[in-house]
Amino acid sequence: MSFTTRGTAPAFRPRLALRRLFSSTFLLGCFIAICVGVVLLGALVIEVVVDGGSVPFAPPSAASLPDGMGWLAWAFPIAVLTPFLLPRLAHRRSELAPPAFAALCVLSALPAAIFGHLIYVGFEDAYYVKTGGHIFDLLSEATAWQTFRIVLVGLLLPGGLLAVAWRGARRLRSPSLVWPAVILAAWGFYLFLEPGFLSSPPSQSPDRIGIFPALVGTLYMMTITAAAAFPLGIGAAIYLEEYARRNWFSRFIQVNIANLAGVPSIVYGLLGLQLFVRVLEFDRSVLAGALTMALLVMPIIIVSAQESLRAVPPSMREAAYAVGATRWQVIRHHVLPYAFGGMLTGNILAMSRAIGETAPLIAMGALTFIAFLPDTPTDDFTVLPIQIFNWVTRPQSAFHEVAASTILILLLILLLMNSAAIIMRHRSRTEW
Amino acid sequence: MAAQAPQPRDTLSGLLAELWRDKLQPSRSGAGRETLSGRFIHGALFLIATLSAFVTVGIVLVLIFETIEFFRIIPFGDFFGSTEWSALFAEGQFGVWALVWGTVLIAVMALAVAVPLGLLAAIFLSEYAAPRLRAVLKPLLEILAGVPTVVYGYFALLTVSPIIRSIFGEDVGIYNALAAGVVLGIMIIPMVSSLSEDALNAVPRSLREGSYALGATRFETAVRVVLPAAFSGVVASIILAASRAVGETMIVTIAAGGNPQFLVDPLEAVQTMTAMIVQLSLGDTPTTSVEFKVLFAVAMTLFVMTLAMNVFAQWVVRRFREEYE
Repeated sequence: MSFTTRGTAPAFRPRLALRRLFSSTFLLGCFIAICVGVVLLGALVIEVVVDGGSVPFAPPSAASLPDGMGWLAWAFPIAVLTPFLLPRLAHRRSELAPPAFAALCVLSALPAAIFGHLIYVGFEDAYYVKTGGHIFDLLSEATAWQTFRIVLVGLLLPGGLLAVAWRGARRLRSPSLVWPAVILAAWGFYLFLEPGFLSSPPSQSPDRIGIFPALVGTLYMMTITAAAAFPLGIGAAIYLEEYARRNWFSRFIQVNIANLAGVPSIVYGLLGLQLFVRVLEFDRSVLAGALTMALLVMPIIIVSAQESLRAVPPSMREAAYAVGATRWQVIRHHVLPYAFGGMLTGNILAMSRAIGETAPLIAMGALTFIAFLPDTPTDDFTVLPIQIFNWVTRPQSAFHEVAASTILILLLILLLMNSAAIIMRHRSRTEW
Repeated sequence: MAAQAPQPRDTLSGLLAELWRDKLQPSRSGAGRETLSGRFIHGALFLIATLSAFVTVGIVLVLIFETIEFFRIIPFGDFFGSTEWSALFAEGQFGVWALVWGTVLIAVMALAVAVPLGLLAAIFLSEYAAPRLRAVLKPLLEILAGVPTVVYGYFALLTVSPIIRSIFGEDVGIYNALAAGVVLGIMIIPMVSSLSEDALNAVPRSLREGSYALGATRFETAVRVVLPAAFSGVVASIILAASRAVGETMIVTIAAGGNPQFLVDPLEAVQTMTAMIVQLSLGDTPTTSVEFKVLFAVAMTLFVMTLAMNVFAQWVVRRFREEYE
């Protein structure tokens, strides 16, 4: 489909240029990321922004930056990100000499900062549009320009993060876009929050509420869950793949694991209630919750670890046996190093399942008012999803806003974990 | 004479190794010799692998134990022979069918959303999308499955439910089965699409090429050749998605209301088995009460239902798989 005649200089053809631009892989990724971003997070962010009439949410200038410096909130991340984007759009980065590249970065950062300031102003306008609180009301009552800027702000963060996922899916090796996107996302989320939201205890009044104990409880529980579930899950996978004979017993264990993965999570909660809370008398502690979660995610870890062990070619093992290695030496020095990346990915995905699970903890009776931090593994605790559930089920809309911003924090953690898993998977992938 | 290494039998460890030799033979021909520490590792890994069996046993024992206690107080017939549920009242009724009905109603609504969308997505990804587009779209679809269910609950109650009320009028309650069912359906789309897509992809290329050679269009090939060939995998994915919908807790707890009734109207509030377990867990029920024990009887019903669906899905895959070379 080429119209170029050999020997003549290629003329500028706008349609071809446009097609090239849109077929440029990055634009495609951005477009899809933005579409999904609209569905997943856009509505949520706008809801936080628009309903944020009460105190927990304020425009960036009032929240975390000194007066008069609020424009930095948006100019900074865009200035960080743009130098990474523009050369990519031009497909020229590798061809440019370093000084030229640096100059291009500075030049592209300037308009980006101005652009960021404009967005920020629009954001502030939107904040003062009091519409009675529904997203559709906002879209009908705000001006088109306001709506455009609100949507733009709402898309910045999910777009950036999903671009990370997209790069992972494209198996690109250089993750240079990843860290700017992560900085951008963290910065944006930080600015959405009232100071103290991350560092205060929960309260009965929504304007002084914080999620610090839930945040600490989540991290605490995840640490113990990981410490319990990783060795057990990986050990079981090694046994099944490397040691077990193909007999009725290993088949039984396999079928059993497949069925365990299908057991509803709330049933695990009842198991935890009886086994850990009552029989072993851990009470409703971090330990009991974490061990229940460990049992819940173990099937996921086993299956993914088995897959990565299976991906190591038999010739690798045979070569090691041929030079006299024992079986454990073969596993330890040859199989595990190659399967490690895949195992880690599976573990992270399993943890991201555990971090969002609510039902088992509620079945264990962990839904209580906790305003302090867990010190030891036997202390009471609370986690982010439980706080979200608690606030969603209250009738006052002020608590719904608190729930929305807690969801944003939870989704941020999840997206970071998933991005890390995807990047790790594609970095460790080796073709045999 | 130079000191010889002791014979294996002379030491305790050697004796143990001798005892275990038969049991711990290398499983594959050509596998290396095992030292004592290697055997120890082998044994430890074996114990870890059997742990999963103990988890299953633990679940079954925990459920059965309290369920038997429950049936000592409430006769079997009252549990399975009635559709009245009022566990929290004095002289409460324990007809589990009201809860099973709520669960099935919401699962059916979820499937009505997820099966068409998920199948279309799977057919598109497998038959139409370019590899590059697929590499992007598939992970994005799977993100839907990674979002915590409590977040879906938030959307069901505060976004979807108001939309439903604006369509069907204000006399529809905030808590209704439709909102929960629709959002639950969105949640299980990736289960249907991802597993079905794997099944469609496993259909060999020669079948498609044969179909094209006979003059079939791409759509005809996808729907009449590839889909029937992958039938077992597609059905299994739908069953697994249904089992996930039956066991899902937070969306229905938050958005479906707490009204255990035998209703057909999807705009009414219903209560599922999982939501009932949460409701009873939230209250401080003493562990000796009937209300505490009925929790396990309901969980047992739920466990048996999901287990049956999972086993059925595995059976479908085994029984109806079309083998191609």
